[in-house]
Amino acid sequence: MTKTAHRLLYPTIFVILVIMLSGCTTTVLPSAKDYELLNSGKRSVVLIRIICEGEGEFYEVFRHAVSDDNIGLALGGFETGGKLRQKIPAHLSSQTRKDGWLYYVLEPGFHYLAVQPPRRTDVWSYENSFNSALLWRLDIPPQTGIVYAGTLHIPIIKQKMLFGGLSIKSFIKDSIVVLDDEDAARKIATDFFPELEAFKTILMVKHDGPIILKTPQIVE
Amino acid sequence: MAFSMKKTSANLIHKIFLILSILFLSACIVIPTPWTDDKISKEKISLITPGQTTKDEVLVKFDEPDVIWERGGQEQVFVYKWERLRAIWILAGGYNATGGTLNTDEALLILFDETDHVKMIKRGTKSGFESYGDFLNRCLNEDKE
Repeated sequence: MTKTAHRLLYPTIFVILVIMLSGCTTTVLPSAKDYELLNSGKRSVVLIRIICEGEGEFYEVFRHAVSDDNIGLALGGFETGGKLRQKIPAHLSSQTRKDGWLYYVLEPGFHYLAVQPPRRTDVWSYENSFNSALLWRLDIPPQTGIVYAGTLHIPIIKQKMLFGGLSIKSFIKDSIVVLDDEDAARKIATDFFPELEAFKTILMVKHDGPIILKTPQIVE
Repeated sequence: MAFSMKKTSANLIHKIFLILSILFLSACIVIPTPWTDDKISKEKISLITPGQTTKDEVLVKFDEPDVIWERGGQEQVFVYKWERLRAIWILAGGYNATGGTLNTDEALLILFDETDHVKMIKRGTKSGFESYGDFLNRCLNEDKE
């Protein structure tokens, strides 16, 4: 009995850890497999910056280690039929993360981004809430190593937490704009991806109406 | 002797597992729902004639599509998506019960040519094991294979 319990203990701890850590925001460079796809032009590094501002002060967007406590992001594209799915962003360094930069490795085509305040409800309701969020269309051209898709400037309403600290209560949706931080994006691209030469700035645009999808054009 | 004991206990475990499985599953009811309608009926689909119906006529009859798929070149596909209720399941045990629905992803794909006339119309059900992109490609390529 003790032997069986011991045998079960480590796998159980491992599973619990995996579940817990799956919600953590990651500060990591693309994997070797991602690099293979990036070098062959089948994927692009998409740089995005998110700035939240409330009552005249900037709010550090990715300040929490657990992604649910930060703002939520969802992406949809050809592979999902435009359906939005929550996607935890990756960050290149602790400094870029502090400054609100994130990146995704995406295939060429149209992708749709939705942003929501931190989760304060069950997982399913939160996932569904992205369907009523503002949609931003990212246009990723083929054979482009790095695409800077713009800086989302989001005015927010803050709230005090029960045990101190601040969180985002809601976004002032009508005032969200896309800004151009191309110089900063170029510097990040040079610092972290010196081997990826092709850099383009294609600012995301607000999207209304039917989802438009493009067949990913992959040049072999 | 020891071997025989092991065999007996293994047999017993199998039997207990089987009985527990039967007891557990006997409280599970699946009610098929063949009476549920599709968002776009077969009658409505029959109003479209490939080579004759235009994009504007499709928009009038079916409203705006959920997805516009640009396939490269001049080809464009309107995708109308909906979920179809296939069955209701209920699981009961003791004083508790839970339930849910079993749905499938359905879609109507209307492919237009360069002159904005309907070239092809296909209706498909997405498998749970394929991505939406693969499903779209499969729907339009089925006839070619």
